[in-house]
Amino acid sequence: MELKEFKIEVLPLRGKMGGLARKILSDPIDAEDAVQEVMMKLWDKRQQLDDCRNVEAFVMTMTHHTCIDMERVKKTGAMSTDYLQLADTGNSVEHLCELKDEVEIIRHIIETLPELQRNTIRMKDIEGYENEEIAEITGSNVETVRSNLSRARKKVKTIYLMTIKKRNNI
Amino acid sequence: MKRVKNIKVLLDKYLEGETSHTEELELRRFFATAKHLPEDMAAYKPLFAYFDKEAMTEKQPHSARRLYFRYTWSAIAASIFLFLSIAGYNGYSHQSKDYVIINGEKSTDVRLAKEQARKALAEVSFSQEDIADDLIPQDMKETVQ
Repeated sequence: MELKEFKIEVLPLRGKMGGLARKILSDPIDAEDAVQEVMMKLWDKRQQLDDCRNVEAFVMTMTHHTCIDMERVKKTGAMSTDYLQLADTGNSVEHLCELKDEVEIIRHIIETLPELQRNTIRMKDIEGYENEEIAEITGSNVETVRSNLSRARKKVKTIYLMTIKKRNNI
Repeated sequence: MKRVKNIKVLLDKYLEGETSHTEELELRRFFATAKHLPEDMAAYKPLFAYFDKEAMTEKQPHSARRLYFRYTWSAIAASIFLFLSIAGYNGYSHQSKDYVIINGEKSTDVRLAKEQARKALAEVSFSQEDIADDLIPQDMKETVQ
């Protein structure tokens, strides 16, 4: 399945996905994040979608699982996923300090980013898509993509600088 | 120094998520070879090194753009092939390979060939009557008469 088929078969399900996401997640912003995340996962699995007999069922199941996961993460901390993630990395900065190689530190930081931010970084910085293409694939607007990307990049930089500072003090 | 300034502008854009893929490649190239970086820029070296490494080892080259490129290149290759085959075919047919053998000698002279052909045809040509006799069936001739 390529972009053309993806746009015809998957993107129209976005409204339905959003409805399901809003039912599970009370925050509409989280629901939109969940839908974007599912879209990216689906784009990643688009080769498998060709063999899928019922694309809609597959998409809705994936949306359901993603929302449940997000809800679980939120409940355990009773705070926004973003904040939780930073608190997490606060603990792991010490662990990161043990890494000698700076590139490995970056890898670890990116791996601990919330899934949507991590996927946005992966599509833009590693796979080389433009913001417009990511927006097209996820059915969102360019501004949302840009802001996700910006949040993710700034966070990576901040955590990296924290790690290096701490490492130099040891 | 001007380049460093330019890179700093790009870095600000990068943090805002506003750089294009081409600009990001420029940043990667810069940081891959950069030495003695100012402190505020040093953090980007491992970041771009990581992306560079990941992009190289990425096993599924399936970006939409790359796919379009692949199609574009195949299309270009196909058109060139088509053009060459048509041009080749025409060139081939323009360059006449026909020849005649007159008195056991091979010749490509068109005029000579035509002249010889006319002579030969004159020898075998029939009179109008001969032709009519041969072509019109017997019973038809009777009805005409």
